[in-house]
Amino acid sequence: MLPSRPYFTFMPSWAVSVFYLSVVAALIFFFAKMFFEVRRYGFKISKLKNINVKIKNLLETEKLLLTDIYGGVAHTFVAIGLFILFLGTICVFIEYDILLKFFNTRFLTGVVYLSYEVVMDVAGLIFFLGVLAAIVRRAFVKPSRLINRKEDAVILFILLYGGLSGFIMEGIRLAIKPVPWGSASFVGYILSQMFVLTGLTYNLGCGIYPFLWLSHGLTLSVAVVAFAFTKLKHFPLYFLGVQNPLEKWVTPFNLPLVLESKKIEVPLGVNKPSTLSWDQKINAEACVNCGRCEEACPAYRAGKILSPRNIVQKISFTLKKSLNKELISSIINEDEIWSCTTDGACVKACPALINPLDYIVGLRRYQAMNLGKVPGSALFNILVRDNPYGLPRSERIGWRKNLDIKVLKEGEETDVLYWVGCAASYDARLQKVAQTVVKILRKAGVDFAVLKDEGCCGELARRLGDEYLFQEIMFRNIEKLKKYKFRILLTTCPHGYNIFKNDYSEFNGKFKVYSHIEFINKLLEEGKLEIKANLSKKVTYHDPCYLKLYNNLTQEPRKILMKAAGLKFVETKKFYCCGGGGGGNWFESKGEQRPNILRFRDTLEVNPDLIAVACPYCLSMFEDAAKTEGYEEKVEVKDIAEIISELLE
Amino acid sequence: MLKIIVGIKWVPDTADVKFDPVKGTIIREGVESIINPPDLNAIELALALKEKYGGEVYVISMSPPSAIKGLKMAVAMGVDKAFLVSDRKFAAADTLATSYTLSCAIKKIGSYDLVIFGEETIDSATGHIGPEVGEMLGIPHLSYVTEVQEVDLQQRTIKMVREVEDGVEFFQANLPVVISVGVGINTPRYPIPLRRLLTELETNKYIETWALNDIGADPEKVGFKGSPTRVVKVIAAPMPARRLEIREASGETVKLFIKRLKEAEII
Ligand SMILES: Cc1cc2nc3c(=O)[nH]c(=O)nc-3n(C[C@H](O)[C@H](O)[C@H](O)COP(=O)(O)OP(=O)(O)OC[C@H]3O[C@@H](n4cnc5c(N)ncnc54)[C@H](O)[C@@H]3O)c2cc1C
Ligand code: SF4
Ligand code: SF4
Repeated sequence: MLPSRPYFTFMPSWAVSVFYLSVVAALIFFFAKMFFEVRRYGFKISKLKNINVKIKNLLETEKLLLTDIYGGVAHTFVAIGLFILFLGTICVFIEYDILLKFFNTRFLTGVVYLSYEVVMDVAGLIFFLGVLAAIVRRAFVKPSRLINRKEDAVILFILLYGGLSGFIMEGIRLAIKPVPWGSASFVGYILSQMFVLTGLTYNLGCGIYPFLWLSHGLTLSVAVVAFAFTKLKHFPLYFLGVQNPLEKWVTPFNLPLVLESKKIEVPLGVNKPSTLSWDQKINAEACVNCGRCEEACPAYRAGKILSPRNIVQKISFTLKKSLNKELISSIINEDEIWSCTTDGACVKACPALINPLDYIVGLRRYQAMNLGKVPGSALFNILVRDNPYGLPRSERIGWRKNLDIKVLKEGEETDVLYWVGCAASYDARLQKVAQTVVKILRKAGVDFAVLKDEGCCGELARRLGDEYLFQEIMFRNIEKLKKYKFRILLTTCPHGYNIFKNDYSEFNGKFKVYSHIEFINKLLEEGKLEIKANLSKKVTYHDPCYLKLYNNLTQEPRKILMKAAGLKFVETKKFYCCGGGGGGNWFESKGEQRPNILRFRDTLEVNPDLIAVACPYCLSMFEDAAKTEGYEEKVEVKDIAEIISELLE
Repeated sequence: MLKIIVGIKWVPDTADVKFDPVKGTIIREGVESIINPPDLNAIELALALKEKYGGEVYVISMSPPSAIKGLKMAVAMGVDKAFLVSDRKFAAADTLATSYTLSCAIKKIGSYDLVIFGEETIDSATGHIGPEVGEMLGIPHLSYVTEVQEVDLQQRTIKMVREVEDGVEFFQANLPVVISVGVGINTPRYPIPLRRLLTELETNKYIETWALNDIGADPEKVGFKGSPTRVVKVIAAPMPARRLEIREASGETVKLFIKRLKEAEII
């Protein structure tokens, strides 16, 4: 006899009908719920894009999950197991409900069937182990970022029962009606042997089987519904939503167009769920409350009131109830949005490809644009004096007073245009970094110049939500920069670097932007600079978020430091933002601790003599922390440029 | 309902103004102008009173047309309407002519309960304007007000506080009054970006420009003609540079700080 798949053994026909009905009902429920929900959020089928990319990204996402081995493996097991079991069910559907019924033919026979059984048992086992691991994790291991809700228990129970009942059923079937190829379903087979040993009789088996079968079938239907009603919907929604990448900020308007048409759509930014874009709504719904974003958040870590998970969850909850509820103050506290350093760690950590920062900036934008509510005086200073310090415009060139640097005249040409940035122009300590960069450029024989009338780059304005001020500044700068001929725009501030590279470029301000770290590395690699001495100190490096997270620029600084320090270069064990971005350098938000202190302590774990940084804000933040912690004499904080400059002689 | 008029001056950012000791003139080229910073305190007080009692806040400025930029900023802060009082004939006014022109403009606005000025300007710093305008309008005036405690709209009275070196003075006056407010009595609010943008899009809706004829001023009393003051000479009087920066407060630095203050005969 050729092995083939048995159908509905021991099953009364009414049970089969109930099963079919339940599946049809479940599918209707699933699609109706999904349909109405996404329609309510403004999704249209025409917005469905890049499905192939999303499928490809699924693997990346699973890889991201694996950064937490336990949770990651559990999820991967459940997901892969479920996926294969789903395919298996589709095969059965095709064979039984289409081929057998309409064409009287089948394909799950012989070797194909036996392989099918093996694969299904393997998948089932993986799935079951994954579910078990997840249960143990939620019930006993309890990682701090996981918040157990009823929903989680229900989902895990459904999955556990589905897996367990499937195997037991298979075991009973093989115990009371053995087939020669039974061992192909190896899990079921082992169980059947156990059942035989425990003395399972044919009658008892026949009695239990239909109920087990039906409950298994109904579990399938319930699971289908759960994919639309519980957090399992993160899976279908993943395909519908759009991931807003960290580095590309969506803008609510284009200033020249507004000035031309004399029209502006209000309100600007996010105050009610209705003011979220359709994809922001869908993404919020896809949040599984895993807390990975929270774990990566420097503000949360420092005991600030902000948690990106809570932001997304609160939006998701409000969204379900009403699209017209004010979010700020009753649901989301103002302090929450102003504690954010905009470092984007949450965005990078989210496996559901949600961008929590996107909501925070939207909320900030509403407060800033429509109500003028922004903390601190930095923006006012920028508005009046074109720099966040509020220092006189004429003092901007103070850092280069005696350096005799070429100042570009209109129409004149230079290879490298050095954009110094407010911090390195005004702050006494940071001026030294700019002066050092100049020294290095001279040493390497680079043809460079500065602008006579450099100004604020607008980064802070954008991060704080004053999009108007940002765009005013940006368009002014783009116009200014286009008057000069240069090949490379060199920056010392990662915030300036990023805003030119990723934000200006969205508005027709495309420049070849280099971070000073990138540029110094290039000079070293081209042999234009040569490291002549070795660093005798133990050095560690703190990545600026705007290089690491926004621009993936992590290799260059390490190459430089390896060249300079060799084995004396040690990596800090974990990564967090120093707290200086998104306004953190300009006003302090309430919280138990300060992010810069915690980050400084992270670096101390490897006992460095020297902490290398590549951002003016980081430098200020670390020096401040070193002072506060009493390490001023013990640990130095220096920009990589400063470290290198000393080794070139 | 309170109707408040605030006078603001569009001044060069004096931090950037350099003095040419040879020519004895001030170098103003390339220097950006700003709203006279103490006037922001005046605007803030007016807006806070409006929030408390309801009403309207108007801003006036006797300035060249470039001051529109400053008026837009004032509107963005929440001011209902701004009037630019601008005419070539107003040029080279001293405080008398300036006060006369401003009082004509205020009369043109008509009814008002409160006229608020800044303490003084950063470019001339006479502090004359408030009192002079009060006299010209023939209503009570008070300078260096640090707090408006209460406005009684029924009785039409206002209670004010002035902190002086050796105490606190309390005043009550009948409305309308002219006051000038102490520097730094409040923190001026951030100009609402959307309102700033709207002012840019519909400037005429928020800002009106008045020339000599519009305010019905006597041409003989404005500008150079109406100014009895003559500047004979400007000299730079160098001040001894004293600069002490304290960046942290440990026991040592506090001791150092006190020592330096003693050395400088400040304490
Ligand atoms: C010695 C001297 C000579 C001068 N000579 C000349 C000259 O030759 N030519 C010339 O053009 N200027 C001249 N000025 C400047 C001119 O007199 C003043 O700018 C003007 O009269 C305002 O006085 P102030 O700046 O001292 O205002 P203050 O009295 O210090 O200002 C008090 C408040 O009045 C309000 N205010 C002041 N000015 C205005 C305004 N224009 N519109 C609305 N509100 C206002 C503001 O709220 C301000 O805070 C001279 C000033 C001085 C001190
Ligand atoms: S951007 Fe950074 S600070 Fe802001 S919520 Fe995300 S992780 Fe936290
Ligand atoms: S936003 Fe993403 S990372 Fe944060 S809890 Fe939701 S799914 Fe997890």
